Parts: sequence; C-alpha cells; structure tokens
Amino acid sequence: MTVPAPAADQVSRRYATLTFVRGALAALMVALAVGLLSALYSVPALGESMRKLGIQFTALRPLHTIFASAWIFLGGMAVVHRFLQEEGGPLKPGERLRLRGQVLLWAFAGLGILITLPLGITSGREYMGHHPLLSIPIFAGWLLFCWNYFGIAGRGFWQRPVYVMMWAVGSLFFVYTFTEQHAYLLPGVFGDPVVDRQIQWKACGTLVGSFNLFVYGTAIFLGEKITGDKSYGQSRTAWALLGIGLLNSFTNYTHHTYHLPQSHLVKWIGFCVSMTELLILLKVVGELSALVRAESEGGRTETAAGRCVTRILLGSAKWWTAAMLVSSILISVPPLNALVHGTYVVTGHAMGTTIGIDTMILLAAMSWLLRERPSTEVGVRKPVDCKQICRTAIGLNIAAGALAFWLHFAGLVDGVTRYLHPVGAGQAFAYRPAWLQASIGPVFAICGLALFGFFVMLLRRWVPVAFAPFDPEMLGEPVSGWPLEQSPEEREDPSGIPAC
Amino acid sequence: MRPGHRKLLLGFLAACFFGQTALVYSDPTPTTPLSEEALGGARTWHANNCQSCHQIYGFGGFLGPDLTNVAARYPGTALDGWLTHVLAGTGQMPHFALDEGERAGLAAFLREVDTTGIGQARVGPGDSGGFAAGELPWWEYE
Repeated sequence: MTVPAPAADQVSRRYATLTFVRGALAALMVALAVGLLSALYSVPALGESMRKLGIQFTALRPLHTIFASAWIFLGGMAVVHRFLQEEGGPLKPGERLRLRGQVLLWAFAGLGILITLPLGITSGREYMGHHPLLSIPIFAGWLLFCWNYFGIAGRGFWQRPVYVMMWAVGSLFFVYTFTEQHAYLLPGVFGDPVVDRQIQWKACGTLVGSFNLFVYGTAIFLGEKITGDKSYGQSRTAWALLGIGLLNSFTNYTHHTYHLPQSHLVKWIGFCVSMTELLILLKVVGELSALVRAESEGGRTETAAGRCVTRILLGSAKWWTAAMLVSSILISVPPLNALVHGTYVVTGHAMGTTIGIDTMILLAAMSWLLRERPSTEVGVRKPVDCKQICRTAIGLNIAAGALAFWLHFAGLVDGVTRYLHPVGAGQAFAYRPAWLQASIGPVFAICGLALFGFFVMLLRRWVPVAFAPFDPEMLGEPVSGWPLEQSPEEREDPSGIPAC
Repeated sequence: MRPGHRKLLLGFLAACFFGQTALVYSDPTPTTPLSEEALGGARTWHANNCQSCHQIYGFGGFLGPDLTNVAARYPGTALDGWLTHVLAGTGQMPHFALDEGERAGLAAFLREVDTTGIGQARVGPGDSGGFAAGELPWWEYE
C-alpha cells in the first residue's frame, strides 16, 4: 500500500498532528513515571526511603494528575489535528503563528510545572496543583487552539459530524472550567471552605466532562475512519451520547458532594442524571467495536492484521465502560455512597475510567495515527501493531483491571468496616482490618508496577516511531504491522497478525 | 439528526448548564467565612499541599485520614498538641517545619472547618433507625 504524494499545504498540518502525538506520549510517560513512584510511596518502608531521598508525595500526586490530564487532552488534540489535516486546507500564516504559539506556551507550562512542583511551589489544589501563574500560558495556548479550531470547524458547523461538536463543546467547556478552577483566587471563595469546595468540585467535574468530550469525539472519529462508515457520526445514538455526556459533565460530580453542606436540589439533579451517561457510552463503544470487528473480519488481511492492537484497545474500552457503570452506581446511589465515599473506591473509579476508558481509546487512536507515518520517515518499517504488541495490550488491560479491582475491593472493605466500627475523625484507619492495613500498599504497588511494565513495553515500540525525525516529503509506505525482515511463515500466518 | 434539532439540543444543554451553575452559585445554605487566623491556616494547608494525602469533605488524597472533623476529636488546645506531634513526622506523615504561628493558624482552620458540617457521611449504629444522629446520608440529612 502506498501513500499518495502530499499536497504542499498538508505538510504543516501533518507535522502539527505529529507534534501533539509526541506531546501526548511525553505527558503519558511523565504521568506513568510519577504514578509509579506514587504507588511505591504507599508501601510505608519505601515511602520513608523516598522521603529521605527528597521525593515528596506532595509533589508526585499533583504531577501525576496534571500530566495524566495533559495526556488525555493532548491525545484528543492530536486526533483533532488529524481531522484538521483533512478539513483545514492550506495553513494560513496567522494559523501557523497561533499553532506555534500554542505549542511553545504549553511546552513552557509543562516544563515549568515539572520544575516548580518538586521545588514545593504549588497551589495545593486538586488537578490544578501548579502555581497559578503557570495557568496563564496554558489558558493562552488553549485560546489559540480554539481560534484555529473554530476557524475551520466553524464552517458548516451544524452539518458536521457529532465529533466536531464534541470537540467544540469540550474546548469551550475547558475555557469555562479552567477559569472556574481559579475562583479560589477570589478572597470571598478562598475564605469560605464550604463555598470553596462547592466550586472546586463543580469545576473538577466539568474539567473531567471536558476531556471526556474529547475522548468520546476521538472514539467516534476513529470508528468512522477505520470502518469508512460516515453515517455513525450523524447517528442519533452518537448525538444522544453528546447530549447525555454533556448533561453529566456539569452535574454528576455531585456524587462526591452528598455530604457537603449545599442545596439538596443540586444533589438530586446530579443523582438523577449520573445514572444515564455510562449506559449510552456503553452502547456507543459496543457498536463501534462491533463495527471495527466486522470490518476487520471481512476486510483486507493486511489492514485487519495491522489493526489488531487498535481493535483490542477499542474493544477493551467497552468492557471497562461496563465495569465502571457498576462502580458509578456504587458511588452515586446515596446509601452506597455513604458507605464507600472517602475510601479507595473513589480512586479505583477515577483510575478505572481514566485508564480503562479514556486511555484505551486514546492508545487505540495513537496506534492508528502512528501507523500513518511513512516508513521513509521512520527509517525502517517498524511495527506499530504486531503479535507482541497485541499481547502487551491485553496484559495492560489485565494489570489495569487488577489495580482497579484491588482499589475497589480495599475501598469496600474499608467502607464496611468503617460502618461496623466507627472511629473518631482523624484517626488514621483504626477501623481497617490488620490484613488490609498490611497488604493495601504492597498490592497497590505491585499492580502499579505491572501496569507500568506493560505501558513501557508498549511505548518502547511506539515512542521511536513517534519521535523519528519528520520528513516533509511524506513519501513511501506507511508504517504497518509488518516488519522489514519477516519470514515467509510469518507472512502466511493464518491469524493475519504479524510477529514483531 | 437535523441541524434544527441539533441547535435545539445544544440550546437545551446550555440552558441546563447555566441553570445548574446559577443553582450552585446562589446556594442558600448558610456558610461561615474563615477568621483572619484560620485564613492564614488555609494558606498553610494549600502551600504545603496537605490535600495530597488528606481530605476536607472527601476532597483530596486517601493516603491519610479525612480531617474535616478532626478538631471535634481534639477539643481546645489538644488539637495544637496533636498537630505538633503529627507535623514532626509520624508513620507515613512527613515532617513539616511549620513555625508556631503557622501551626496555630492551621489549628484555627481545622477548628473552623469542623463547625461547618460533617465531612464524611458515616453510616453507623445509632438511635435514629440504625444511623447515628448527624451522620445521615444527605437525602435524610436535616
């Protein structure tokens, strides 16, 4: 299969997509590294050793949450730029300038956060743990992105597929929620702990909603590209997902605030809406993975084989969505919420949705985007999809599943024992059974280590492809799952999936 | 879906968003602003990123316990003593070199947070249908 010679104006747009792929993978690597250290911190002996080395959990946690969010936003943005590659036409000088500005501002902010947080310079807030001054380049970069995106997607906006709308709303939502996240800078908000938390929870919920819209849009765009079926982006199911997803993004955070002094009306609305989103998402992901599977089974062998990892990752997101539906019910139904809120169930739910749904969909997108890189750029035909990578994707799911299960299990045991043996506030887990106290940290660390290992195995293959120098000529065959040196037996493999 | 329907959907969602935002910002629940000393304590809380490990109203990390109502357990000056003890570093809690003023501010902050409500909806045995008074889930919490 060959790629047609590029139009000159396509080169810059293609480079923009690649830049965001690289940025997303870099953010993922940082999130993984500090995430692993955070997991190891939960083992008391290791935590103490790390403290002696000057590695503080107070720096690791915000670094992990910030760069995990960055991975999701940048991954989604890479897909958005892939869409702009087709729709944008020639890159205008102003657009190019804004794009460069956005990348430079975000690179500055990313480096700034990496340097300042370990030095103890922090806002002390959830998700926005960096110093508020570093929010300025992030916000300015986002506005530049919105300018470019709406300049292209705005044309014929109401006729466009649903993912264009999802990205548009997600972008505007980010502008709003990012501003709201900084409401604490107002003395009236900071000086009232209840109001501060009401607003902070609301803003965090909307932030998650914003990046969910980027991920949902990515899933639908990817499904459309892989299957070639453009009707899905216009379907009622897809638009229902947008409607329910959006409604959820500004209400379902309330399952974290049932016990916060605030209007019960806010809580009731949140509870009623929160049950709906995952059901519709489950339907969408299920339909998309069925479409991709059907296309692969009946399609061309090489194409189908090359999408092995994309299929696995997209398909696994369906099962994760089903699992997280159960977890969401645990957190959202008030009597159950009273039992488990404030335990590791919340962490398990957050990690399950972030890794199982968002990351699996984005990794599927990364595999698809990397496969488009011409082999002439990469130097040799390096496999992006192959048997080993497919096995790694399965291992990744198992490790993430073990981590999420353990956190839910430990949280549930904590919740039940807390119910049976209430203790005074501030008493550190006196209700927790001894066996759980002894095992919670080590098991968490082992699961985290396994997950990290599988991520490394995957990224070891993908990072060299992503970071190979860019070739503006854009000639040659795309990187496929087929390595250059391949035995005839491997080529004739009946599964159609190449070995690495 | 037709463009007209799409506009209606987006319009409806925008109205829901602004309605919900208005509900949160006009919440009639009475709250108490922090005193000057407690405000200093809130700054200390954030500057040291206490939220990484501890929660206030369930907001924060889970490495340490929720501290919303810790002041109720250590009334009066007992809280200052407890803070001095834990801030020196104990178990998984690292050492924090806070001066006396910062420690007093933190104590004031935790005392005033304690007066705002119950941080964790703990369901426990009690005399109110199996629930401890003041620890009911929100739909029964009055």
